[in-house]
Amino acid sequence: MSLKDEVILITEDGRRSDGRRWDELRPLRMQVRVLKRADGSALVEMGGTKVLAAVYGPRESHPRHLLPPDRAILRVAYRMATFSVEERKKPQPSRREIELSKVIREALEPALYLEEFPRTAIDVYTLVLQADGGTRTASINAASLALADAGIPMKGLVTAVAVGRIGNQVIIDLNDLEDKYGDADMPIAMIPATGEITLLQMDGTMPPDLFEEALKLAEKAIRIIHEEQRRALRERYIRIKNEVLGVENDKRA
Amino acid sequence: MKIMPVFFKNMDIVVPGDLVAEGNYRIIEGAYRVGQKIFSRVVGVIYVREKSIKIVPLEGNYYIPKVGDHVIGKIVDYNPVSWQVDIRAPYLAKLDASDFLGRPLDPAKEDITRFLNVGDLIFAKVASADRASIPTLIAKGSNLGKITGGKIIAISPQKVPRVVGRNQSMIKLLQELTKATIRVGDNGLIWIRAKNKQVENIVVRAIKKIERESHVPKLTDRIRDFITEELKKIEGEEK
Repeated sequence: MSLKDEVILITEDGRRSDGRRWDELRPLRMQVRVLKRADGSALVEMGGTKVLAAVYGPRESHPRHLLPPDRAILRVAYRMATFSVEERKKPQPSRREIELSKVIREALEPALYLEEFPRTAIDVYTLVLQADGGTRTASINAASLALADAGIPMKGLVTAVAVGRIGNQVIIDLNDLEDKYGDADMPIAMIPATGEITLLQMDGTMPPDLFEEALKLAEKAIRIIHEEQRRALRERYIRIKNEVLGVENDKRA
Repeated sequence: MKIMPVFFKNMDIVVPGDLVAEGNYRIIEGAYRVGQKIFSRVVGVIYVREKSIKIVPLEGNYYIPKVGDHVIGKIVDYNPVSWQVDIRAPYLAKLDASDFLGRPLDPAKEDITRFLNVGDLIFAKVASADRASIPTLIAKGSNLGKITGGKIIAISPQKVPRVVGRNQSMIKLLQELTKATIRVGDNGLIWIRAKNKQVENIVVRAIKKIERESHVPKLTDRIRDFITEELKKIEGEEK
């Protein structure tokens, strides 16, 4: 009997390891403009996963001949803090981090009007402060918020979530345990405004009928997360407005 | 007539990707169209007129030079016949010596740093700016040239239109109330000179207030009240 068979990911009455139902998201928390020096920034929490994102630019970059003459380049650096996982992560960028930087960049690029800033660079840094599954999706959510916060024109925000499978059950927003011991993990990023899917990866296996179900579930979850992103972006301004007009602010945030 | 629905109220805050309206509206800025649908492309304030939609961006700490813009720049480098100027854009701008002096400069006889040296600030006009080459400046003419005295503050370039106001109403209000001289660069740098430090500080705080509260209605009234009150305070102190 392998370790995998010993981990109970979902109980008979449909509770997952952290008490959620199959279609329940982890608690979300999002805030923009958390860093003063960055042009745009955001902090995103999806349950135990916490990601900080910072955006700089459009700005000049050297050597200049590496910049395309007709558009901006988007540079994404995804990193995990040494303290973000149980066993200290070596600070040197790993193969995995470099690859995730690339897929996150490719998930964000279709949403941006890069051709408006020729010969410039837009830098996106995402740092995982605490990892509990779904760090790439949380990074995409944070990065797209930070880009909007930096005033970069976009077709729409990019929103991401992971779906997965435990046996015959499709589940949403996997945590670390489900990611490691589940039967499938499929991160998806979308531009909800246009319906475009900008990232779709999968670990494990998924029968075709469950794949369809998983995609539908992800779309539903993305709408919820997208709504939270919109709230986070607007909140700053609504607070200032309320303060100026002498209206009580919502103390929750 | 067809119905052209708008999904937001005037002066609502929108974010990128929000479906703001449907129909044949003219887009002035800040939005894009897919068929009949109009989406926002920035975080901004929406203004809906009968036939047009405008979304004024609230974020953005970058400046893209346009021909004819008035900017405040800082000399960062020079060669025998021209200066390199930081205008807060992603590209350094070039200022030829002749476009500052109004006459050719013979580098064999004259040292360019006699006129402007690294660190000097100038008022300049953008003479050329296109996608292919670096922007060039002109700093010869009325209200252009080297800056001496006063104070400079930086705001987000996106907020410049609010500090200037419609038909320069806001900037005129500031100048009338404080008797200060204020020159706003399109790149978000603002030069202020007032009769003393206290008044200068009031102007700075008023501009920061405009920047922060630009999306809240009745901005002009609030700024007028703010300055009048602050001026009273320092008058009281003087007595």
